[in-house]
Amino acid sequence: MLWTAFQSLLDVWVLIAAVAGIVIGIVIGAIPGLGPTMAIALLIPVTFTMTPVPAMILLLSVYQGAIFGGSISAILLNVPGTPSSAATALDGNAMARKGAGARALRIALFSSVFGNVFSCFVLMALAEPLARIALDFGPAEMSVIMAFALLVIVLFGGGRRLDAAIMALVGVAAGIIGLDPISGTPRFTFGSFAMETGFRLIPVLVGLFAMAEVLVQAFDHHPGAATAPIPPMAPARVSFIEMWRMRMTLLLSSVIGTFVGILPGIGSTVPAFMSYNLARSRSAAPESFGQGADEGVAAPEAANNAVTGGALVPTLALGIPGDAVTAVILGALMLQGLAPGPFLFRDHGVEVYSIFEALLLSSIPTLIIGLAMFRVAIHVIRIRAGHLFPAIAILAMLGAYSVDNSLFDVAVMLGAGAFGFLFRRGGFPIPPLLIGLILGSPFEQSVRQALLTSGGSPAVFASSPISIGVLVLIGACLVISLLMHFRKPGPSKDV
Amino acid sequence: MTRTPRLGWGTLTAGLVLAVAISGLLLLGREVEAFSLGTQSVDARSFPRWVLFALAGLAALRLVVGLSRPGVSIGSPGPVFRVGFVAMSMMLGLLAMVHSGFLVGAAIAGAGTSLAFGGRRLWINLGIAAAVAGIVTLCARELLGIPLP
Repeated sequence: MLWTAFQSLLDVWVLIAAVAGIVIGIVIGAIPGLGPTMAIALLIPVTFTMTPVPAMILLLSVYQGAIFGGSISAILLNVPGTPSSAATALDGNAMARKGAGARALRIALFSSVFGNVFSCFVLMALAEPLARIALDFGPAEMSVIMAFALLVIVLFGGGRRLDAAIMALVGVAAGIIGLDPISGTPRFTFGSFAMETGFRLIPVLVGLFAMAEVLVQAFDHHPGAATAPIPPMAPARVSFIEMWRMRMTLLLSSVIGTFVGILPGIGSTVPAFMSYNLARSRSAAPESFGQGADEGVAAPEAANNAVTGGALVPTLALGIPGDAVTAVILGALMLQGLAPGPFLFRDHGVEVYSIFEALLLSSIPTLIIGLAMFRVAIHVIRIRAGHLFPAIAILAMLGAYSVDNSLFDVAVMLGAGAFGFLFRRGGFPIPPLLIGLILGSPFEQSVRQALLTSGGSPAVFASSPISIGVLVLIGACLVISLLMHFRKPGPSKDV
Repeated sequence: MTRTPRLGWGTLTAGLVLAVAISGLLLLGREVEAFSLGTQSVDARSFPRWVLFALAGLAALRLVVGLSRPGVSIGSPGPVFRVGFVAMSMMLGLLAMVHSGFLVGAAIAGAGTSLAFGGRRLWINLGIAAAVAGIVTLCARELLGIPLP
């Protein structure tokens, strides 16, 4: 299987897709406010005419490039492109202010690649065995696993739990619209034929991440505001020995990133800060953190890059996305006819392993292109909002339309953008909504199938060792969450 | 960003979610046809009912919590007007797509967004928006083979 998959990579289009994806990713990621999720969502239409392997490699390379690109603005401008880059900015920007921006960027690049390679190996080791186990899951087991996934994102996804629960339910409620998954009768379609297919994932994603960003930027825009100066960068080198000295930091951060990434919905911000704090507590000179410590850049970068390999484990094996980026990748996989879930490895094993191997091998062009491009990417940071956001708005319209050649999808995208703006202004987290939307319909289907087979008895959800095990995990998560809640100081408690 | 204990973005959004959830519950009987398929316990209305009840309850709780603690105020009308202008131009662009095709619609949406972001070189911004619309339309049609309206 591995050799056959490798042979399918020996295609010039695969190389072109990987290189183009990394370049586009670095450029988009370097622009403050534009993250990998938006970059991938906007590029999905480009993949329609491509075969599955180059298409997925393009999108995953965009992801890799965008994460590194995000660290460019975090380090040089102290403006994290993504929330997870905020931890990188702590020491990265301190280094940049001392004229060591080039060194910080090199450390960020090498650490990113390390985290990516580590998580790829874990992905290759865990995803197929998990998918094989999941082949034996019935509707009751799938119901409790999906309930667990939704609960984890609400309890541990960060922010207020009440807001996260509302968002998860909004996503599940949006998934109700369309045809009933069991009886096939229309629900909340208001007589519209177009609404019978429900809200398609890609237009909603494009709306939530691209259109909402345009509206948020329009709200926050200050026409006369001065831009922060880019600190001068002295030429720098980071030797293999210097990276080797940080091997334990890189390894522990990658472990944290990968295994936190496997848990649905937590995202990369939490492991980035966890790794940063761990690196500081293990350091012989903890006082240097925040002042420009090499390990203060390496730890969060390794962790936030390792998240996606981890997040792809439940995405590919169970069809449960680990974070917003993997939710978009899940949508792209479905459009390519590679439906994630237990049958993916059985039906499309060669394609999936090709994608894994390409993800691993793309570390080489990421290193080369990353080193060559970060000085170019600095100029991209300066692109004017008046030029950038109209282009994003137009690409968002094209992205939504192209999924099914339907203007209804463009309207859905605009609606999702308006709601996304309101939710973001109100401080509501978006990832629970996304995961609720993706899991809502299969969750309902599993629950109802389980109840139909048991004659309506809820005992069916605790009738197998797997279900009981997951229910115990659910109970443990609730207890841990309650303990965390009561250990917090009073005024800052989240609901 | 002004902090205020009264109505803000959070409470506004929670109120909107509550209104949508209650409307969904009220329309459930009319908009969802239910067949029991041999069991009375679960039908096509059951799951939406559970979800919408939970959503309405949590949104109401969020509204109460939001009104009792400081939140992010809606702020001055300028930024809200800018957002409304972008949203309006996007909707106009969508309408134009129906009647005049993708290129015209995308150009209107791009130009509106460009105007909202302002800047000193207005005509250059508008020209760039129109050029982007043209390039995107050309690439989508010729390179990606997307049958645009």
